[in-house]
Amino acid sequence: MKLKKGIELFLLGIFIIPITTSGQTLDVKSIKNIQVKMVPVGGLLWKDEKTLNTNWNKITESPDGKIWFAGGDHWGTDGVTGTWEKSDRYNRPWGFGNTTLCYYDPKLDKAVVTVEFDKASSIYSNAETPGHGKTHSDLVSDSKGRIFFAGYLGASYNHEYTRAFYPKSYAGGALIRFDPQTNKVENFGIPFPNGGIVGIKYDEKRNIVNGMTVDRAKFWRINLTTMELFRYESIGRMSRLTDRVREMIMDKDGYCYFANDVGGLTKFNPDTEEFTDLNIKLPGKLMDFRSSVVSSKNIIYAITTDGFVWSFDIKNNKLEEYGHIIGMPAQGHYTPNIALDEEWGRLYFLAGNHGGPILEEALELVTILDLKQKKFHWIGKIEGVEGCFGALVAKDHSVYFSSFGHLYENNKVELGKDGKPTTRPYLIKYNPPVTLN
Amino acid sequence: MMKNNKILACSLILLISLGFTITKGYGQRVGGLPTKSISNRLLISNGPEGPIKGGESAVTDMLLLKDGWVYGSTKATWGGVNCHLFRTNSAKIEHVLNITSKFTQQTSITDIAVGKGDVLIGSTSTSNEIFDDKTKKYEGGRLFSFNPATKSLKDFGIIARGQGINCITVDTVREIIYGVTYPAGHLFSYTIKTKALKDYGEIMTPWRVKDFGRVSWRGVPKVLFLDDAGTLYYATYLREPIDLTKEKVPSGASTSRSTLYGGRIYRLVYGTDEPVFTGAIVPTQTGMDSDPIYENGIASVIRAQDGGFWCGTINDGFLFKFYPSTSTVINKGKAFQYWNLKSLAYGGNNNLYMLGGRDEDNSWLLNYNPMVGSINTLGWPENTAQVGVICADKDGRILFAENQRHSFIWIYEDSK
Repeated sequence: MKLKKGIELFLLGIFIIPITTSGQTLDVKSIKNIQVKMVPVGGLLWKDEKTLNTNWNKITESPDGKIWFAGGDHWGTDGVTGTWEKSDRYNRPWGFGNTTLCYYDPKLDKAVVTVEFDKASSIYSNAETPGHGKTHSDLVSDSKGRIFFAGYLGASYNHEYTRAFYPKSYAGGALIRFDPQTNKVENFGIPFPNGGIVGIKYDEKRNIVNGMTVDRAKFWRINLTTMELFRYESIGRMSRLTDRVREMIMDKDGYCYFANDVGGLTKFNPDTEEFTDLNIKLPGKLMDFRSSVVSSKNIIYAITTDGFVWSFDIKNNKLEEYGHIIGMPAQGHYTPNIALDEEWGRLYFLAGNHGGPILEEALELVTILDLKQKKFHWIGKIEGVEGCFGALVAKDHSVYFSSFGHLYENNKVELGKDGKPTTRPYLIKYNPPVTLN
Repeated sequence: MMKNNKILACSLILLISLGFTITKGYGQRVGGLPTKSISNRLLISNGPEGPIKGGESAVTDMLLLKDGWVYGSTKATWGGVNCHLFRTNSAKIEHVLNITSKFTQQTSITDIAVGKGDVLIGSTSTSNEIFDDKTKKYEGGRLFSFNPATKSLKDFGIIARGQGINCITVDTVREIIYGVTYPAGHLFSYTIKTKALKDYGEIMTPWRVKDFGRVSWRGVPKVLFLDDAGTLYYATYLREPIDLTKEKVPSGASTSRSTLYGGRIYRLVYGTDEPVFTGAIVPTQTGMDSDPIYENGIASVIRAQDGGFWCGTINDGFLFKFYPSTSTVINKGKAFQYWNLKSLAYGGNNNLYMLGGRDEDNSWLLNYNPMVGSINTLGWPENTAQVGVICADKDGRILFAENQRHSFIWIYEDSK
């Protein structure tokens, strides 16, 4: 009897203690639906029907206030979705996999397609050498408004180990720069043959692009002045993750950061090319960062793959924990995006599927963390969203999320030729409340 | 009461299912070894507080001593400072010694071998960046011995000023350490009792290569091996004396020339001064490299049970057997398309296990079954693994050790 009592207390402890740690817990019954504007990614029509179906990239705001986003079509390689026949992928001009780069102009409330990735990198996408079925990395704007982007293809890692013709020979993620002023496209090549790119950070002071591959988490850099390529070891790996690493951080001074195998951060010095481990322990079981943003004061804000929010003040070497995104530390809640509004002192998040454990009832949940009050506000669910991998706060405090899922325009869901809701990549514009209750 | 039981049961089910979800999540992708075959994973790095910090855990070699522990050596990488000796019993890892704290300029233990009395014999070096910077004054690689039983470290001194040591082997009968300097590529011997050092001269002209921003030297022999008579073997290219009656040799120029093909196995008989070509040639798929001199060599060696040596080649990744008594080479071929067969070990089931892959990249575990004669591709332990060396523990399990900033060792059991 005593034993049973003990087990009961133990179990109670397991469930109760984590909940009380952060002091706040989401009540799933109180979640309401919210309406937002969805701006679909354009381009890549085939037989008068959209083919784009995915989005895993970050987004950026150029100095002129445009929001740059992207969407991919990888059904040629991953399978045949929607109403297509298998033979269609052979007939389409872009064959197997392609991605478009777009911008949304908030002043004109208009989206424009600018570049197709395959054309920009001279990939003649076909069954043998499929194209960039998506972009999985940052879209980066420099101070002149030129946009950097890089290619990716799902399952490219299957043969990255072998360089074998299996299942396809993806050429690898090309690094490209697009100048919207002149429409000039510059292809800087493929830093890692056969490997997709999952992170690019532009160090404008040094004119160096830092990046990372998906599978081996290999860190690389390209000096755009000398066109030298530097490769490093699998420094970006976080071996606690069962999936691939998809994140790296660069601070305002060009130093890069990676979650490491001892639960802390490894810092890269861009001048000496030396790595140093910072003596900190990141929160959560996975002790990583799935998404991050750096403030103008050089403070890193991040969320772990299992949903813990933290910040790191680089100057003062101070780690701060804000608790779990839904106040349920034992419940992983995949939220692979973060946006910072420095003026309002807020972080924004949108929970998404496709990458980690998630509380199903809180999927599509918009969360605001009030950094001053250290309080989470669970705003509501955005119907239709399946995944979201990039977010930013524009100068006018509007919040943008780079997402995919069912597309709602004018309160109507887009249907395919078969009458079923289709999966599309789109940009979400969310207008947050000025005050939080 | 009934209700309480239900709560208890539900809670237990929830916990079990949570556990199951976590376990299930560790599934592998294409090329992964079966999850059950990896019985343990040990992190060598201890983090910022050490003793083995990040950047100090890249494993360079491992060997099993009679005390039942596998001893390993590390090198400092990418900003790391120290190199270490550690040991593992496949259940845990213990730090043994910070070699850099004893020999300040030495940031890499390049090779370890077993000496007389079951002691470790080691060689040291520094980074390529130091070798490439003429303003840096490197004292030169050292030889040392370490007795795990008494924890005593003996310094045998510097072999060649400004030169590291690439690899060593030990004649335990005569207590002679043979080694090759890096990057100069000189063969030397050091007799422990007399402290006599002998330089046999350059055996391979190194080729300085700058690739992806990093400098290295190619061609320096990676392994030396000895037969029972104490005869030393290694692979290099063939040098031939220049015929002075036909050609005039400019002052200061070399009086020998190479055949322009590498992979020639040489022998140095104990008591002689001149290594000679055995007539044996490392199996090579010709025309696959930009410079035929450097296109092949021996990456790994292990004694075969019939008196021969199993060898793995660098470029092509062929497994071949070399019989020193007859200079015979039997090429067993290769598995998959992997090259650089860089490490060999016998498992408990008498299979020969092999590690194939680029030096600083992903590697596959392969095995050769001598009864069947087949080479099998087994896989890799994790998708980001960068394994540099394998070794069998006392129970015949295969240990994979990485050469990363935070390196792991995986324990592989074929039976599982």
